[in-house]
Amino acid sequence: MPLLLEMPDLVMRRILEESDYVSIQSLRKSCHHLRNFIEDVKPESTMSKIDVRASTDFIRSSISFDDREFTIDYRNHENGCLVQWSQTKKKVLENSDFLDVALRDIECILESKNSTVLDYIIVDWWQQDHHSA
Amino acid sequence: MSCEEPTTSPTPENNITVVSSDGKEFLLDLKLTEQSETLARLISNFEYDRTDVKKDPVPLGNITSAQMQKIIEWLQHHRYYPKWEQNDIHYSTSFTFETWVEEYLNIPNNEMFELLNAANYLNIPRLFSTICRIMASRITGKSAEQIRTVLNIKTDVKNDVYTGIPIQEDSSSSEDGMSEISLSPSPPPI
Repeated sequence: MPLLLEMPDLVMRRILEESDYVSIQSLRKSCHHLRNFIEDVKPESTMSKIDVRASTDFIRSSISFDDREFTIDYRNHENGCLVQWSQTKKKVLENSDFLDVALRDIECILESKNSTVLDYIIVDWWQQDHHSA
Repeated sequence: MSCEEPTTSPTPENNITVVSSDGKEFLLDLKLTEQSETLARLISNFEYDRTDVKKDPVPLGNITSAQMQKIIEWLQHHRYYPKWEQNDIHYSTSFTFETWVEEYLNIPNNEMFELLNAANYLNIPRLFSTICRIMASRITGKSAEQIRTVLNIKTDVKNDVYTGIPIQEDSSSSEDGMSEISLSPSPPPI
């Protein structure tokens, strides 16, 4: 029975071209073979802006695409790092430092960037009370 | 868009015979073969479009009769469609397909992959691109775990070389309940 992993490179590349960034990241997490392939190919994306704001116990990274934007918050938590990416979706990564997790994700985002040019990357100190944000 | 018109039966003058891997012969109208760059090039090279040239059956060793039947169905439906042009890769991520296409490709993944291989082999760009889009649509919005289920991807978790026990993920990289959006968790460990 043929599987996705047995498809020729051309097929895999084309499926990645047809997929959006978030779907590719999910696909990347599904198995090592796909992760390696995606890291080698670096599929095209319309990522245009990366905005990272940090404070002593909180980091917010916002990534913008042509048609959407998503924001991920990383907070210090008593059990590790609280990652939140929408009003209702969040998770505690136990025994993890929020700074390590955030930096790993940002590194992953930057590594996935292909040849197209970003409009800008902002890395800045958080200026407002993030707990009320 | 409706491009369907009454189809004509192939006659010896305007057709070629292709033979599937299981030995079944199919009479193909030359008009249909225009959608396959592989067949079109072959016909051009051997001048099979000339009536005074003897046409030998074309063996298609990578394609079964079931796949060939499915492909002919596709070629018939798109017989009068304009020549395929590659879309810009940055087009909308919303996946919309013709009802006919949705019904045509309402098949199990393994058959879809076989058809994709056949479309790749015969170089039928419209079919190839459509199946890739359908596959992408099946991935969109799903978590890694859901993708594994949908695409029948086996995790490549390895056993500990000393104990033979599967190596456990540490809690920080567990994917349970993770959204499609967080990048932190890695695939299951090797």
